[in-house]
Amino acid sequence: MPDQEPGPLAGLRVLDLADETGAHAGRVLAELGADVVKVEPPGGEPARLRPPWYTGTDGVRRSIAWAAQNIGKRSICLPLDRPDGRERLLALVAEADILVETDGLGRMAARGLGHDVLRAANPRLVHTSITPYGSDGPYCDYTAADITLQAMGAHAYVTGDPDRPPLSIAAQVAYAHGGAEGAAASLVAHYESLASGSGQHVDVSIEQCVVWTLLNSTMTWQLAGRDDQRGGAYRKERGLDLVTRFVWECADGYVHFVPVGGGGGHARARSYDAMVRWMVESHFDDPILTRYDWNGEDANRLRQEDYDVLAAHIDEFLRSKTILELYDFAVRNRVLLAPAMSVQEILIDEHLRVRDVWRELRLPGVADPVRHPAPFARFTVTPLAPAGWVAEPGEHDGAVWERSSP
Amino acid sequence: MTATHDEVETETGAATAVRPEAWHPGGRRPVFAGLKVADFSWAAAAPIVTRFLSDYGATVVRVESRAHMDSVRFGGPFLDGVPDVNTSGFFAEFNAGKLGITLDMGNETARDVARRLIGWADVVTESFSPGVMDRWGLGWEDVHALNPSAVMVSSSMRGAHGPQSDYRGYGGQGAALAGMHLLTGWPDRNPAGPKGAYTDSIAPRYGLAALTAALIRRRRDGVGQYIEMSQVECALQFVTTELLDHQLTGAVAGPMGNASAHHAPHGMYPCLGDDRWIALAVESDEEWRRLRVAMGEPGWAADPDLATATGRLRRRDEVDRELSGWTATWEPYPLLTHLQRAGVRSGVAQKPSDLFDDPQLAHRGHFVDLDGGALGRVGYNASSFRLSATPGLPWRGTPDLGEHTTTVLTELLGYSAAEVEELARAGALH
Repeated sequence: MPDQEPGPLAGLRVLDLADETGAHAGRVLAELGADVVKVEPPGGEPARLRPPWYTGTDGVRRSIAWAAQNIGKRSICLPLDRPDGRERLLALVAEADILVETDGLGRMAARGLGHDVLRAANPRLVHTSITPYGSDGPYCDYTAADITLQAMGAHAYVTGDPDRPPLSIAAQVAYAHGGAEGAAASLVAHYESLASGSGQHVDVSIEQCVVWTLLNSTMTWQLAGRDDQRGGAYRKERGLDLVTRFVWECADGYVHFVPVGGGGGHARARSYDAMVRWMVESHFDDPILTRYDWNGEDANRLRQEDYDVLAAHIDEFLRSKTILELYDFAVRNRVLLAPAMSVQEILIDEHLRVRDVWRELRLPGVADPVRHPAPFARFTVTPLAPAGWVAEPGEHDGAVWERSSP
Repeated sequence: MTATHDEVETETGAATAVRPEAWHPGGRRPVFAGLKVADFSWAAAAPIVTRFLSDYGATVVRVESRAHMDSVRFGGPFLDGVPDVNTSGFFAEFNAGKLGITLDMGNETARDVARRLIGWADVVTESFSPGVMDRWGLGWEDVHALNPSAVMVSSSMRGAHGPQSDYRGYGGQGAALAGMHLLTGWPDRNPAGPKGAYTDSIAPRYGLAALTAALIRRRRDGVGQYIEMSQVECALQFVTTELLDHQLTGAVAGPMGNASAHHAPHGMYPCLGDDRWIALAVESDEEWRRLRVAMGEPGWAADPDLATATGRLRRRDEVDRELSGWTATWEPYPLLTHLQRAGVRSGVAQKPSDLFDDPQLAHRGHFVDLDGGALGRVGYNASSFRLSATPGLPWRGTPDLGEHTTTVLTELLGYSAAEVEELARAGALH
């Protein structure tokens, strides 16, 4: 009965030894329907103590960051620093399809859990390491934080204001990239194992994940011989000389909008034309609006002084409008403009509500459920049924993967 | 790591349009060897998914149209700075290894070719605005009827249904809608937002996971299914902590520069040289002790008030100022080595150009030099993961617009040369 499968990965077994730097991988696999078992040291993993925290009605302080990355994972506690703990783990490895860890090959081997040991326990096993730089190489032992990885992967250098230091995104995005990549890569290797009957090692580098977020900056260096520069709300990108504005202030907040200077094309031309019509109707007409074929013939030879005149005019118009007015117009007229939404606005967004994006999440020590964004994909045959809970340390001790199970 | 590509050239004697079957880099068949992909996607997010499929062995036919060009072909950088649809490095990165064909989808005859392509494929991807494929008679119902074993993935900014499903946007707009702009900026300035079309860098990982999960599931009964995705909803996964935090504590995540609400010091600190900075994070009192040792135990840092996170957070500005005075006397890479020896979390704020000299990326074989069409030879990003037994790499550079139309139609879809000529005369291959 396909309708009752909790997603396409129903029946897949995952052992999750990852700390906060790779925990997102297990969450993605759990959401796709896998049975993910978190293996923690007795008492729970250190990441359960990481900020931010909430204090429950039971007076216990728990980690919100931990909860966010461990939704729907069962938990068992094993002392992997002791032979009996390792033996128990290897017995579980024998029954598992995927094992995810964040130590890398070297440290796993030093713990007596090297790839050869895992492979001996289960030749079909996909063993995935998610580490800052990869399991080997000159930086493999470098210690990192999310901000240092955003820096090494060069995304920070090209983000932020020109007169300030490079800027990081104030969320654990490098770890999330590594985790999402680790989930995808684990499945790629598992798919292969179904054909070959053999597992393998998957080695994810978070630095490389961050490099991918540059999208075209490495090409700009190679083809134009220059580094993209950070420009705050303004950017100088795609190898162009032009500094263009991306983030604009409106009456009650900010919007992301690239009226011209994005390289042109149908969608950009249509977006700009709709905005110009609105400006004209609102008596914000000006010859500069139509002086050039901004997103067509002239798209790649715009002059900065012309752009600046245009931008000043658009700026004045946007400041006269509210976020809701602008976004409503953008949705109806295919304008490439979006509000910079806050977490509160996201939580009450009508579109997300209608799409049934939110799932209830019950947390220990919290009377009423909170909401988390799920599912990230909609399947016709195997719809996802995201879990609405997180496990306390060792909550499923002794209750996983009995040998008699199918 | 470029050797693999060169071996392909040597073995076959010439660059070949269709990936040679003999290409078994790890002794085992590549993961997606034999997997056939009809790729109607465009822009960045969805083409990145099919780029991964190609790297790991799939035959990917990327369908484009001269009537409605992929906007990324208009995006620079361009070879020699001259805009040309065939020399965009932006486009090239996401399309290496694919076979490029052109079909004017407004033409019914072209849609017949698209139907034959869908019949050939295991996987169909598209990222048009919701409803476009349906209007062409190529929506999920049509695809499933044509080819019951095909897995189809549709992705768009806001998803296929809902009051804002008509909304059009790129990844920059997606980042704004997913709350990332307000997490990226200085508290005293306009938010900057992350560089690039940021959600285009997030969604492909979820797309690859979802698609591969469906392929795994398909092995059970051979029946395909439809996957619908929204780029913004993928990006919301990245801010789950912030969304929960607001509900549980009332906290509202906002721009805070490089500071952390919980740790100090935490930020980017100046070094010697032109726009040189090092990122550094102290996440515990023990790590603070290590940093003090690395700095040579300066007097200001010995203040017992700074021994705890509470004290360091309260006097964050002072700590940052003193620490900056010390880092500013160092070149960035020697300082990185020094801090790493001391066990301090640290990383240089590398420039994109630095990545080409990064010894770790070189060790990983991150940049792969490949020839492709009019763009010529350029370095492509390899995927961020390595598979020990069945490694994958981009194997061929980007296709020119319509470069493989005839090859694909005759060699993969079984059209005769005369039929291809007839299709061209009918305007189907524009």
